[in-house]
Amino acid sequence: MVFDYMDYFVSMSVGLTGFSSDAIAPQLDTIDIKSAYLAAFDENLPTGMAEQILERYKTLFVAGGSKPGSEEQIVGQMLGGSGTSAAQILAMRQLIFLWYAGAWPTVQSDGNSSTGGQTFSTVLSADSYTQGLVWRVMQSHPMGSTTYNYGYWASNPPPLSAYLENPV
Amino acid sequence: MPHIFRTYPRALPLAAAALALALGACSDGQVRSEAGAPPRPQQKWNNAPPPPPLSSTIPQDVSVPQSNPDLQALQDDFDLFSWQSFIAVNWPAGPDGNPKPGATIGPDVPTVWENWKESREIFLPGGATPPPWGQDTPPPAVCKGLGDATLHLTQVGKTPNVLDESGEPFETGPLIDQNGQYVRFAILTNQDMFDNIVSNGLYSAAGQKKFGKPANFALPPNSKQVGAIMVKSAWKVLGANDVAARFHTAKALVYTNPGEHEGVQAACKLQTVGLVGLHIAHKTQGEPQWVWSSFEHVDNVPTQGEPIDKAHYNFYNKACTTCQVNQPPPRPWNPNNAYTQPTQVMREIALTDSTKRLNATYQALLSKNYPGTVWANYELISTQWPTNAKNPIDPTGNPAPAFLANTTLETYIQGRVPRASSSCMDCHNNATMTTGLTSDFTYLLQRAQ
Repeated sequence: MVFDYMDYFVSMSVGLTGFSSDAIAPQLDTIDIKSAYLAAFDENLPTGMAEQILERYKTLFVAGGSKPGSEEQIVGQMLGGSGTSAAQILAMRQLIFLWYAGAWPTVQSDGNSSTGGQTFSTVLSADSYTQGLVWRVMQSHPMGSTTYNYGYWASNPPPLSAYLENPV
Repeated sequence: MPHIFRTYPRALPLAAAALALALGACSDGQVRSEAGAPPRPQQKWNNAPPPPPLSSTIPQDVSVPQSNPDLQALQDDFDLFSWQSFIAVNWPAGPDGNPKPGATIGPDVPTVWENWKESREIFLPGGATPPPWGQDTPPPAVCKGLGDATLHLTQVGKTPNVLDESGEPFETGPLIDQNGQYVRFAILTNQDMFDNIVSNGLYSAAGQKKFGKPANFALPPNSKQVGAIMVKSAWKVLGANDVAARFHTAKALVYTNPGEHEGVQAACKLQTVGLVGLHIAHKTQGEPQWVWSSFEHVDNVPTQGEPIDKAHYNFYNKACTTCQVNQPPPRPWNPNNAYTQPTQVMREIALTDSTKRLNATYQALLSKNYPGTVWANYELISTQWPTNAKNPIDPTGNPAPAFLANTTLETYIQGRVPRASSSCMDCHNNATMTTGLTSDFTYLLQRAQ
C-alpha cells in the first residue's frame, strides 16, 4: 500500500500542536525539521507503533471526509482513547513535547514517588533547539539564537499570529 | 530500529494535503506519490542546454519562470542569476570602467567590478568626503614609489590597486596559501551603492549621526537602475607552483595595514595576485535581504567526502598527513612574515548536483566562447536568498540555503551549526552603522570615521 506518512504526520502534528501547517511544514522548507521529527517519532517508539498511530489517524481523517480544520478534533478522539492504547496516547504526548521543545522525552514511571516518576529529555540537534515551537508561543527566540536586528529589544514583538503562521 | 517510513522531499500545505488525501479516499485509497505528479518546469541546464547567452548586463532581479516552483527550482533560478551576474561584473572594462563596447568576456583583463570603489577609498581618515566616482584615492604612503598597480597600463582598471586586508570575519584567522603567503581581501561597491553612501553622508561618523535613521539601499519602485552591489574578493600572491594562466590576475599593491594586527609594521609590495574567491551581494527589488552569490577558483580545495583527485590545490596539501584541517594559524599573525605554515583547507558542505551542472554548463560556454579563458576556472559555490522576504518574525527572510561558506573568505566557520557557521544573511543582518542603527546588511558603514 502506498501511504504518504509525512502528509499524515504533518496533519496529525497540526492537530497536536495547534499550529498551522505553514508553521509545521512550510512550502519552502529550508530546515525540514519535520523529517527529523518523523524519524525520531519512529525510532524512539517500539517497533511499528508510530506507523499504527499514523494509520489510525489516517483512518479517522478519511472517515471524517478529509476536511482541513478537523485535525484537532481527530487527535482529541485519539488522545481520549478512541482506538488507541495508553502507550500510544503517551507516544502522541511525547510528540507534542518534541514539537514544542525540540527534544524527545523519556518518561520513567515510578508509582512510589509523589510525582509518579520523572521525565528526561534529549535535544535532537541544534536545529531542533532553535525550531522549538515554545519560542514562538513566547513571541521570543531561543537563547543564543535570534534573527532579529540589533536593538530589536527596544520594540514590541510582532503579534502572536505572526509567530503561529511563519517559520522561525 | 531502522527508519521504516517512506517520505517525500516536499511539504504540502494543509489544504493541498487534504485535497491529496481526499483524492486518495475517493479513488484507490492511496495517497498520490510525487512520482505520479506532472513534471515541473526545469531550468534548461538540468536536461538540455543552451543556457542564457553571455552578457555584460547585470540582471536587475531574479527571473522565476516556473508557475509553482519548489525550493530546488527557485534555488536553480537564483544560481542562474549568480552566474549571469558573475559574467557581467567580470566583463572587460572600457576606459570609463563600464563594459567595453565590442568586447566579450574571456581575456584576462581588468573587469568592470575592479573599477568600483574600494572601502579604503570611501571611508577616509577624519570622515573626509570621498573623491567622486571615477577618481582614485592615493595609496598609503608606504606604497608610494613602488609603481603603478595596473597590470594593463592601457586600461583604466586599477583595482585592486591596494589590497589592505588579511583578516577573515570575526577575527577567525588569516588564510595562508601553499606558498606560505597570506591571502588578501578587498571590498568594493558599485556606483549605485557609492552614490547612496555619499548623498546621505554615510561615509563619515558625523554624517551617519546626522542621517539619524537606519540605512536603506533599496531603489525606488520601478527604478531602472541595477541597485546596490557589494563585491568582496580574495586574492593569493602568485608564486612557486602556481600557474598564473589559470587565474584572473592583477598587479596589486599588497599593503600590510598596521591597524589590522597588533605589533605589525606597515609594509607594501607590488605583486602579481590571482583571484581565488569572489562574493557578489546585490540588493534587488524583490530580495530586500540581498542576493548573496559566492564563487571560488576551482583549484582551491577538495571537498570532504569527495575524491581528492587534483594534482595541486591552492589551499590543501595532499602529501601532508599531519596537517589539521580548517585550523587557523597560531598567533601572532603577521602578514609581513616571509613564510607561514600553509592552512590545510577542505570544503565542509559540498556543492549540490544542480549547482555543479550549472557550473559545468557555464564553464563549457566560456571555453567555447574564448578557449583557454581563465573564467572557466571559477565555480559557483551557491547562492543564498530569502525564501520569505516579508516574514514579520524573521528579518533575514528564512535564507536558503541556511549556510553558505566560501573557503577563502569564511575558512574557519564552515558547517551547519546555527549562529556559529557561516550564513551571509544571518551574519550581515547584525550589521550596524557607527550609530548602532541597522545598516541594511552591510558592515562597510561601520568603517566610517
